Parts: sequence; C-alpha cells; structure tokens
Amino acid sequence: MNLKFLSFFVILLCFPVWGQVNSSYTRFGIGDIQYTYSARRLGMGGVNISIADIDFININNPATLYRLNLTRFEVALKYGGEQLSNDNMKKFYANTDFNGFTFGFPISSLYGIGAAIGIVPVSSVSYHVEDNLLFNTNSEDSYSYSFSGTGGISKIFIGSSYRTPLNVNIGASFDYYFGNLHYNSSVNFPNNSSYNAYYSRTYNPNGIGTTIGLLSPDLADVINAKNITDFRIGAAINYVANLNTDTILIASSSSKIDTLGQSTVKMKIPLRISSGISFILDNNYLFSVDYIYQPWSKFTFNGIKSNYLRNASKLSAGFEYRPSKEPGSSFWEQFLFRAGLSYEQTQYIINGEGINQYSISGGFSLPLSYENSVDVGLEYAIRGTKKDGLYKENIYRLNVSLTLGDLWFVRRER
Amino acid sequence: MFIKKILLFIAISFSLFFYSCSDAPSPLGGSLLTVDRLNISEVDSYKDTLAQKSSYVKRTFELGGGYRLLVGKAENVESSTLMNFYMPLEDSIKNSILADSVVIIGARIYLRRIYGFGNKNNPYDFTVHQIESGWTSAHFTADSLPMLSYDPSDVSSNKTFSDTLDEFDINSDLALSWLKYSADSVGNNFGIYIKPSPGSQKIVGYQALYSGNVNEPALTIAIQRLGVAYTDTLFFIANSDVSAVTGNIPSVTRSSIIVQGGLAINAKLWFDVSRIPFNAIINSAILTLHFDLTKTIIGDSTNTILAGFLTDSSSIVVDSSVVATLDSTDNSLAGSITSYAQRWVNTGTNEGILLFTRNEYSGVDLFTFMGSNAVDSLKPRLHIIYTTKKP
Repeated sequence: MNLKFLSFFVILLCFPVWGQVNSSYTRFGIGDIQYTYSARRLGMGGVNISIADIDFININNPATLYRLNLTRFEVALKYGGEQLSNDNMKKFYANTDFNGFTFGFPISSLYGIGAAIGIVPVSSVSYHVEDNLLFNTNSEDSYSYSFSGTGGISKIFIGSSYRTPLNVNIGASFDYYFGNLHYNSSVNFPNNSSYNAYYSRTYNPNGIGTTIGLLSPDLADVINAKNITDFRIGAAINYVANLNTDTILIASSSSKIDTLGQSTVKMKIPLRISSGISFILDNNYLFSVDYIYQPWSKFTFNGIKSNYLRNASKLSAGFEYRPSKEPGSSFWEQFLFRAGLSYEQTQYIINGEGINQYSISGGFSLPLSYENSVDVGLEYAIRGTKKDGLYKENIYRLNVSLTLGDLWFVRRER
Repeated sequence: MFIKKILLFIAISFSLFFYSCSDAPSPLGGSLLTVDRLNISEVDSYKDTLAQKSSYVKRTFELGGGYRLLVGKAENVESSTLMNFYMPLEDSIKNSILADSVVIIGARIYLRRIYGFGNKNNPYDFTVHQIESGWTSAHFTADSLPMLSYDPSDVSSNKTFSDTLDEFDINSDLALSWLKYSADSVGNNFGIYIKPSPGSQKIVGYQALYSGNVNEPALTIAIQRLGVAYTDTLFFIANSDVSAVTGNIPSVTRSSIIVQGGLAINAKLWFDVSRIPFNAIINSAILTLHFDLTKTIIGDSTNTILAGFLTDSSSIVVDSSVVATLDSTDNSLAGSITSYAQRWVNTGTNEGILLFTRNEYSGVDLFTFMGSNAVDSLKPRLHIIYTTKKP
C-alpha cells in the first residue's frame, strides 16, 4: 500500500505545477501569485498563517507542522473559470490543472517536530489574446495579432517545525524555485503567400528560498474569554534569493529561425510577510484573519523594476465549522463547512490604475473515512476595472483536494 | 453507499468542468500587452525611394539537359541540333552485317514536334549532315559549334512536315556505316547535325531524349539480309542529343531588360533593402515586373519567369536549392521572393536576383520587361511587409 503511495508521489513529482487562468494581467511580474493550493484554505478565503490542524499540511507557515499527528498526503486539482469583460465585449475562459501536492508526517510530539515536503505552484502566467487588423486603410491585406503567455513558477519545499521551551512553535522550510515563463507574440496572415512571424520569449528561473514561521502558544487563557480556545497568533516570512533566470528570445517564420538574444539574468522576488490570528469558539467554530504584504514594487528583472507592479497586500477572513470528532461519528457529524472573504490589492498597476480583487469563498470536507477526506473549495472573485482601457474579471475557482492520513514510521509491537 | 453517491456526483461535476467550453481568444486585454507588441512595417519601391539596379547579360551554357531539340531561325536566334542513336543489334543481324550480306532498304528518322516559336505559317526547312567529329551533349554549347566538323552534303531526303511529326530519310550508306560501327566498333558514329535552312523563319522544338519518353527521336532502318526471305525493320532511339542556339541580343530601349531562353539571356535585378532592420521577419516580399509587350515573344507553349537567388552576381552563381516563380497577371508578372528578402536582411549580403525563363534549356521565348531605368510606375516593384519586435 505504502509502495503504491510512494510511486504515485514520484510520478506527481514529474509534473510542473502552476495554475492556469486567462488574464493579460499575468503578463506582468511573474504572473498571478498562488497564495494557497489547497481546497481547504481556498474555502476559508485563504487564511492559514495561524491555523495548525492535525489533519492538514500548512505550507505557508511551517511552524504549524508541529500539530500533525499522522502521516498525511494531500493532492489538489483546480478548475478555473473567468469571465472577462470590458465595455464592448464579454468572454469566458476555463481550464483545469493539477495544483500541487504535499506530504507531511509527525516526528516528535514531545518537541513539536513535524515535517513536510511537496511541490506547489507559486505563480502562474496564462493569457491568449487575438485581434484581426488591416495592414493599412488602403490595403486589403489583413492580419491577426496573437499574444499568449503560459507557464509559471513552482517550488519544491521541505520544512519542519520545532516547539521552543517557551511553547512558541517555530518552523522553516527550504524552498527550491523553478519554472518556465513563455511569452509569445505572433503576426498571422490569412493568405498563404505571406509568412507568419513568431517571437517567443522564455524565462527559466531557478533558485532557492526559505519560509520561516512562528506560531504562538494557545493564548486563550491570556484573553480570558469564555468559550474561546486555541487562540493563536502566527507570522511567516517568505524569502526568495535572486533567481538565476535563463532568457532566450527567438524569432521565427517559415524562412527563418533566429535567436535574437540569450542571457542569464537575476530575478528578484520581494520578501513576503504574512501574519494571522485565529481562535476556536465553542470548540467547533474556527475563526481566522490573515494579512499578507509583499512589496512587488521592489521586484526587479535584470536589475530593472517594472512599471506595472506595486506593493501587494491581502486581507482575508475565514470561518470553519468543525464538529467534535468522535469515533463512530456519522457522515454528517464528520462534515466540515468553511467560508471566507478576502480583499486583495494585487501587485498589478496598469495605466495608473491599481488592480484589486474581492472574493468570497466557501467549501466543505467530505469524510472518506475517519482520517481521510475529499475537500472542496469554491471561490468567486471580482478583479480589475473597466476604466482606463482595462477589463474586469469575474473569477470562479473550484479546488478539490484529496487528504489522506495514515500511521507510518511507527514500529509495531510483535 | 451514500458516500459513494456523493463522490460520484463530485466526479461527474468535476468532469463537466473539465470539458467546459471556453470562448475563442479575443482582443480583450490586448491593449495591455504593449511589451509584446510587434511592429509591422512595409517598404514599397513604388512609393518609397528604394534604390534599384537592373541589367541583362548573355550567357553560354549547355542545352544538353533540355527536353526539347530546337531547330530553325526566328527573330534574333538560330538553332541547330546534334543527335546520334543507340543501335544495339541481335547477333544474327550483327553476323550478317559483318559478312557484308545486308542491304539497306531504307532509313528514316522521326521527330515529334512539341514546341514552336514564331509564326507557325512561316517557312521552315533544314538540312541534315553527317557529323565527323566527336561531341557530348553534356559539354556542347553554342560556342562549340564552330569547332564541329561535319560533311556539308545533305544526307536527308523525302522530308515530310506536319503539326506533330517531322520525318525524313537519311542516306543508306550512312545508315549502313552506323550498323557496321555497331557490329564491329570500327570507324565511328558521331550522328547527325540538323541545321536550319537559310529561308527558315521559325523555330521548331522536338521532343528530346528525356527519361524514356515515347516521343523521343527515333530511327528505323529496313534491311534485307541475303538468304532471308523477309525484311528486317530495326528500331533505334536517340542515344545523345543537344541543341545549340546562336544569335544576338535583340535591341531594346535603355529602359527595358531582356530574358530569353536558349540563347541565353538572363536579367539581374537588385534592390537596396538595407533600411530593413537585420532582425526583422519578412512576412511578404512581392516582386512585380511590367512587360514591354512590343518586344515580348512567347512560343506556343506556356512559359514564365523564374527568379533565382544570386550568391555571386559577378560570375552569376545562383543558389540552386531555391527558385521563385513569377506568375502572369495582365501586363505584368508577380511572385513572392520572401525567403530571398529574409536572407538579404539576415546576412546583410544582397547580390540580387537572377531572372530566367522556366524553359531556359528548352525554348527561346523572349521576355522583355521595363527595367530600373523606366518611369517609376513601370519599374520593377518590390513590396516588402516585415515584422520587428521591441528589444
């Protein structure tokens, strides 16, 4: 059983991981930032910095890994649908992607040591724009432009937690970043006698980083509030060293393939700071609020800042109803519900107009057995504006995660 | 059971999402992508000041590879043809020939007409002569003709001409000498030289030896062997043939350029495309030539002009791996030379193009175009559309 499990794990390792949407906004920086890959956290508005679950691997704050009580595996799929609109038209695009997996296990409950590894998306680039134009008003020659972008950055991480003598949990992960960002432009002529022109710009960043997290002990006694337990404050920083990025620009047509430029440059992704607070009310109702800040105005590529990026921040609030889990509980007694809200000032600023996003989300966990579940997260978000030649996005996301728990690495008594 | 139903529901729902339809790509969001914007530009020698040069040159090359044998005189050209025949013999006949027991009853050559240049009603005739010096079709040119040795006496008789087939008898002694040479390899068989008569005013193209074509030149020899009651008719096909076209460059105005097959006259054309950035992608490069119809004479078969990529304009070397076809449109010819323009731009080396007829080795069609010295509206026109990208 475990061998099959590991085989599946290895096969998944072979796949690059990044989400796919269809938005020209993703042309800038490294594309859309994937704050969470998990259906559980998507359903709660993305909150996770201060939440330590026994049955969930939280990758954004490795200090929360201390609470894992079983070996856990989580794999996620994501469906994304977007309706783009401006004053003249409305279009709908959708696609589905593998969205990462994680594998975690407890090492020492006494010292609060838990560990996790996995591969998750960091950012995604996906857009495809086409337009038909006339060469000039006096000519019958028509052609179409096509712009497309694909790819993204993923990371492989390995992290662990440790409980300090002050009962403060700390954690860190070592992150390896890699990916491909493809930006293609083409001019296509409908007549056969003209050659189409293709320009392909590819960036292959890779490098290392780390995520360091803190999680307070239960502060419920400090605030001395009735019915409140597991009151915790969490914080995490995510640092990415300058990524070495191989770049290549290729021009091609039916009569030529030419490398116009090739070099290795540095990509600097700014530090991300995250903080959160959470508590459980009446033993069943988890509330949490997160705030994330990342100064994307400091993003540089080959030492050059982008005029299309600004400092990003995200404020999220989430709720989860988790009934008390007892052996022999019925299906509905093990059913978990979630809901969340978030406001995000994205990193994009285009034509002087900042791109903001509002979202509402919900989700649930379907128990497969006592320690295994299928998690479903839904999100509806509105991003962008129709002002200044921009467009608005109505975003629909559906994440489905499979979370499995089992007792591994335990010597059985004979 | 209930859990399974729910999971099934989720699986089906998710599958539907997998196959959900997306709209086709649209312009939405395109205005944001200025960083990827491509610039499409054009250069049109008709509208822009684009330096150009044209000239023409008479060249000499072997016509042995042509699929027509040209005989006659018309306009500025005269063409004659050399051929010999492959004459394998059965042993019994060979033995009779070696025993001098063969009498030639008749020998006749058949030539299939497939091309005509000049008024078809114009007079046409030729004489046939025994060649007395060696030649090979692979290396014989018009310049070789003065060195050719042949018997001035006409060895042909009983010529009949029709729209499709010309045939004539040849001297029986000559035919017998070829048979003897085939039997004992003593002596020679250099074939015949078909020379237009002075009064000829058109050129006829005959099917040449060409990949086993059934219409290629044929020789039949009827023999009577001593002691044999019947007549043997021997059939032979051409072994080697070549035409030699001579003539002068026709006089045209200074504003015209000439292209003619056979003779052969090629035109060189050059445009200054240095204003196009070296990293541009050439989407389209259309060359248009305007006919000088008063001097353009095309035979009774279709023909057109090809444009070759010149790698050396001084010694006239073209890249044989590429050729562009210019198609006729009203009073002009036009065709795409996109790949040529791309190479000029990429390499920075531009030796121009060479214009020649499609049937350069098999016809004498005369094309006259307005050259670079003509008025702007009639000059050769090069219209280039190209794409560049911001760095």
